[in-house]
Amino acid sequence: MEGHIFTTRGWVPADQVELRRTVTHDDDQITLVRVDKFIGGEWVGNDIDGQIKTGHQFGAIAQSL
Amino acid sequence: MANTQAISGTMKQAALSAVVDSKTLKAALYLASATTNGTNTAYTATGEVSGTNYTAGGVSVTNGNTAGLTSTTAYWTPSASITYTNVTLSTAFDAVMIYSTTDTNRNLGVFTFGSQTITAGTFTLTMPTNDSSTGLIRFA
Repeated sequence: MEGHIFTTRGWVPADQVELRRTVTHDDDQITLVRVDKFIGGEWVGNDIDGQIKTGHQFGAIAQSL
Repeated sequence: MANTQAISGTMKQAALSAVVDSKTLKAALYLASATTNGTNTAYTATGEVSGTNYTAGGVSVTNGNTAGLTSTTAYWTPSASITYTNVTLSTAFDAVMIYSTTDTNRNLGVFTFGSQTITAGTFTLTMPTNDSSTGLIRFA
C-alpha cells in the first residue's frame, strides 16, 4: 500500500511510523541493516535490508599434463 | 611468446550458462541452526524457515540475466532483488539457497549472512553488480 508501512498492527500510514536503522552485519560480502519500526514508542516490527557486495567465486585451475 | 595453459573463458561461460540461462529459479531461507551447504544437491525443506507469509520453497528469483563473460571470468547475478514481503520469521535464519525448479530443484548456491529475525516486515536481498568482480556466481 502506497504511503503505508506494514507493522504488527497491519498497514499504518508511513508518517505515523518511526524507523530506526541499525547495521547488524557488515563484511566484505554483505551489509545487513535492521530497520525497527515504532509507533508512539511501541515497537511494531522490523524490516531487514541486505546489500550483497560480492558473490561466490569458484576457480578453474589448469595443471600441466 | 610462450603458451599458457588455461581453461577457456568461453568454456566457463558455457558451463555457467547451462545452469542459469532461462531457468526458473527460487530462493529459500534457512534457519541458523540448519546445516545447508554445497553438499545439498537440491532444495530441501529440512532446516527451512517457517512463519507468517513465508511459503515453503521460498520466493521466485527474477532471472533476466544470462551468463556473462569478461576476459576469462564467467559470471551471473539475478536481475532483481530477492524479497520476502510482510513476513514474520521468529527463529533466527542466516542463509538463502538459490535453486532451479527447471532442473529438479538443483541447488545453485547457498549464501550466508548474519543471523536475523524479522517481525511484520520485509526482508530484501539487493544483488551485487553483475560483473566479473562482484557477480553473485563467478567462475574464474
